[in-house]
Amino acid sequence: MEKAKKLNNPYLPAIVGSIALMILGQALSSGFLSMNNISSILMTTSILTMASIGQAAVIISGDSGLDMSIGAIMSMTALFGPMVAVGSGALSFALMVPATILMGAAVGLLNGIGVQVLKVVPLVMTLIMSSVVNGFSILVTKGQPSVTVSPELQSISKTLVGPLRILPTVIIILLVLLEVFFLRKSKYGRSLFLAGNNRNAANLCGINSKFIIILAYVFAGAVAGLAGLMLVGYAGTAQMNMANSYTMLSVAAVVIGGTKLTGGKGTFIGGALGALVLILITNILQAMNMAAGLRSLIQGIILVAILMVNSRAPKLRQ
Amino acid sequence: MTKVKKVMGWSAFPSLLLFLIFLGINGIITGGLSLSFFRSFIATNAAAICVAIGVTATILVAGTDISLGSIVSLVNVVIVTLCEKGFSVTAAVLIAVGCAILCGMLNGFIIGVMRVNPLLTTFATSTAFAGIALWILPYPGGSIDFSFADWYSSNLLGVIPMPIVMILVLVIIWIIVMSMPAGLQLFALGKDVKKAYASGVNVVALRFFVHTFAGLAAGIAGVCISANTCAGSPSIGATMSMNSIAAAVIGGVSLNGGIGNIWGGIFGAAFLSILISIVVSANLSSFVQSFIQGLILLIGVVFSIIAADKELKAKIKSIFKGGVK
Repeated sequence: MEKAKKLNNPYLPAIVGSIALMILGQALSSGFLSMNNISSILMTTSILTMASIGQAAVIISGDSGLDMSIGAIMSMTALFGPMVAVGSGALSFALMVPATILMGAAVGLLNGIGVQVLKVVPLVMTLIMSSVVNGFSILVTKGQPSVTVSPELQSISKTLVGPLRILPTVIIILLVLLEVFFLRKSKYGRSLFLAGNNRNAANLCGINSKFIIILAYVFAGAVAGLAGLMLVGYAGTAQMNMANSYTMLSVAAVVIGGTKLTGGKGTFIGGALGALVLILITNILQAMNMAAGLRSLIQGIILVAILMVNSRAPKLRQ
Repeated sequence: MTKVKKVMGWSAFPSLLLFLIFLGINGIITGGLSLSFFRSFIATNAAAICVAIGVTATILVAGTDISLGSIVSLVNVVIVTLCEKGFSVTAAVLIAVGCAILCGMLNGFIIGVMRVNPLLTTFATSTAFAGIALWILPYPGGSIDFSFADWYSSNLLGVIPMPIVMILVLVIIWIIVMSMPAGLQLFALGKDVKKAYASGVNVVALRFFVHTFAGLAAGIAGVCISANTCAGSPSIGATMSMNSIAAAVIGGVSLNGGIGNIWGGIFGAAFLSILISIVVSANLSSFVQSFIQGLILLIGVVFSIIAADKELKAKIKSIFKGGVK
């Protein structure tokens, strides 16, 4: 009985899905489960995981919370982060990390204020913020990003621990720590869940739910800012709007990981598993050498199938 | 006086006001408003307005649809490809609009019958539709017979320009639906799904209809944009879905559902279009343009939401009354 209960956890579809996808990938192209490919899959997964951590925090905060500006923030910090250049490479790299986090957090703060103080619906507020942020990056770079990625920045994705790259390992440890100490144990995490579940109850308990939810947006922005820096370190070059697809991918990852869009429930680890599923799908389709259009079509169909299995609303008749 | 109040309280009023103000600004910048300006304005932006009508319909039932832009691209690509294969323009247009309606029905099926969240569903289907468009026509190119463009710039019965006719088709369908019991049920569904279901509203059928209507709207938008450009591009509608949601919100349509009407969507989209044309004609460097567009969009949305806020209105009123005393 205990076991059956444990099996019925929200991670199950994502875990089963990713194992099935790995087997399918190996069956379709023989080099799929080679160490090299696995480490590159984990690398891209860890970037998407960062984005989905931020997205999960906002979705948990409830009030139909959703951050559609994550991709725009990532693109912005991917462009601006490498521009930080002070003296030696190591010093400027040390400055890059807080700089990108600050940039992202600033956008997140604007999002939070728009959603909670000006009472704009989150979907629209963050959507418009993403077009403002994209416009801002075009304004600053004059449409021609000239980004030179320093070796220090590249090294975060190139350094190896055994056969695997170091970054995914760091992210996985960070993820578990965040999940346990930020989301589950901390006072802030508990109040975030309560605010997402029932705002009135949270307010009656003396929680400043407005402030808590604004902080969730700031957190999402900050994490997305860092994810942008990781992305540019991995890709080696930066382009305009390079991370815009991460917005909806992060939402999809969070949902596949078992978080409901209604808020008040959710986990960071689920988002990571969802990210793994999405990246595996993309990777398999790329390995099969398909036309870009067909790839996107199949990706869409698989997503629809996952959604139909995983996140159907209960029947109205009860 | 009551009439004025009624107009002021209309949910689409702020967007109409914004549209008229910016129309005036545009007139000052470009030196007078001419009939030819209106004609080209409508011809260029009929597609955006049609998509906004479709999105507004889905938002009214507390849903949303971000796949419409992809459907527009798909329609454009289908028309171009069929024309190059030797089909007549009429046949190509009809087949393409049929495809769009099918796409809408698919959305409606997944959202209505399978009860999946509309935002996620339409994100997934938009990936699929955009994929089909990219599969059919991997690179921008192709051309349509220019008779199509001539037809688009002609007048129906010598009076009504064709782009307006296209918009009117959607508006008339919508008005007919609104005059039926389904119209009232639609708003009930948007306000509260459970109560609507308990009162005997056919939730599944209404959701299915709304998304099919949105598909039709995207199809007509695709026809407009194809006729206007006479060329094919697999990403022509990519930015339209997001802009149309912003347009609907500016038009006073509540994303929580049940408040607003399609006029809001129309005026919101018209405001956004005139805004873009002002920013383009203001002779700013192209790098500044998108930033300023975003900023004005933000201000527009915040303005229209504050304008719809009843608490705030009451506060302002009480301040004014206090001043009189």
